[in-house]
Amino acid sequence: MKSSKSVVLGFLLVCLAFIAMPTAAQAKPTITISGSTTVAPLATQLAKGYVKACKGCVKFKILQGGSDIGVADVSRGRATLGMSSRIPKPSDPGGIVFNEIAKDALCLASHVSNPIANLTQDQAQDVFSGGVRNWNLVQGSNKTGTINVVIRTAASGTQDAFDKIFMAPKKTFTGATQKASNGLIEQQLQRDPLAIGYLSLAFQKGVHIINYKGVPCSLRAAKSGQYPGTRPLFLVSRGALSGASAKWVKWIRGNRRALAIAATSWVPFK
Amino acid sequence: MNGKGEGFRRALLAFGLALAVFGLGGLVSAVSAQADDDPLAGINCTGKVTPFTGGIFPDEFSYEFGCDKPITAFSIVSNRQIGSFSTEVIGVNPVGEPGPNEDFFCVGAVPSNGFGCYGNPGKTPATTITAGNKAIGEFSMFDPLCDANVNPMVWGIALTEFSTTNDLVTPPVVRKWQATTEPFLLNTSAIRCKVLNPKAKAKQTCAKVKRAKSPRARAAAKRACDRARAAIPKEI
Repeated sequence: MKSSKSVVLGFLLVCLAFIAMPTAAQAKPTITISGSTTVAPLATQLAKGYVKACKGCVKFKILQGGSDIGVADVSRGRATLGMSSRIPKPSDPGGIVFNEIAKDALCLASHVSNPIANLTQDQAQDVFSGGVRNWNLVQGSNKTGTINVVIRTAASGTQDAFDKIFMAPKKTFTGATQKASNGLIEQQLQRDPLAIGYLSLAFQKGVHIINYKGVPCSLRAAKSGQYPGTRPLFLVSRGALSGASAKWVKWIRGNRRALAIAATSWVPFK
Repeated sequence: MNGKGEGFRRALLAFGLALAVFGLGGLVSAVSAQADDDPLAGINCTGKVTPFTGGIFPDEFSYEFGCDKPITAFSIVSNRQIGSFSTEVIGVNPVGEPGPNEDFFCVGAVPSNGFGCYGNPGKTPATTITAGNKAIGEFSMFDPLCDANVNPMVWGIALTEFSTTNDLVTPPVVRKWQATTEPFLLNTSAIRCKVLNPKAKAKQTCAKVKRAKSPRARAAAKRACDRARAAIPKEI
């Protein structure tokens, strides 16, 4: 009897500890960020760097879901900041502000056994619009067979940026395989010798990166402004930035440590 | 919602969490102990944590683990505060090739003692790490790894899927179940600290320089102090 009482008491103590934890955490402001899977790795690193720099002045909660989800979450007040890898759309809700924090390069990529050296914009548009469907028609390819075009899903900021930078005025092929994240595209390109896709510069393990318009998709070329496939990354706020999130964004844009973190795989804010 | 209601919701949530982690884990272990042929008895997960050199911060680590049942979600928790984690994790097969439908998104707080990873819930078939494949990701500690008096420990908790067959009826009915594993300890032998809390140790050692009574003792204490300071890892 006595031991069962202690078990119940022990369990209640565990529950109390769980209840007490969020109460203690509320003393610090919490910045909840959601959205782009491209911005998320950068935001996570910048969150850690900032919490260390300001000696634990804030706490971050990091969620994902795609740029459109980030914009929707911040406009509805479900997140403090949204992560977006696309520029504003006319269909976005009013009252939100896109705050640029860095730039990213979008790289064209294929399977390592298909080392295409370069694609011009016309060639890239032919492949990604479905105009050219067989590898033997693509200059520099050593493959024959149907091209498997891999693109991102519609909610993705990366897809939106690809449409604007690489494809406009043409549209991407409606029969393309759609993937929900950079990681999934990377995975598909690693496995499928007949696949071609595009991904963020931070994701290029085990794939062949294709030069675009004669320029390599590298961090160096992106930083120098030579690479034509760069796009801005944003933290989206509801109205002007304020409070803890304003301080964080200011730190990201101006602090040497923050710029050093961003410079590892992205083009830091200038 | 008023404060009382919020508090009650929080209490319920905490109770639910405690039940999910301790209750289901307990259930799995209790059933395991009772019946060896029960499907729950066979959930075995193993993994390890190793240094990761390709990251931004000096205290970054790679984790990998797998279970002998398909994994539909998992959490990584540690006795140390985690500062960052890879936001996408991919399951790979034993020869290192990524699985066809094994991409997980990770979410969580920074800093905190853990994070959770899940597949795309709306996708058919659901994202799952195949039994025998491994989830591979990275994380970094918030503070330098050895700035504590205990060595780092890292656990995984996986939500696994299994099926049971009722062949007492015709045709047999197969039912799918999900269960959380008990927290399983990942092997951290590759990241164990040679010197724990080097800053505090250096402070103690360097204090002896002032207390030294002879020039010779002072010089020896100074050398020991320099060695202790050199053992402190550099931060970015």
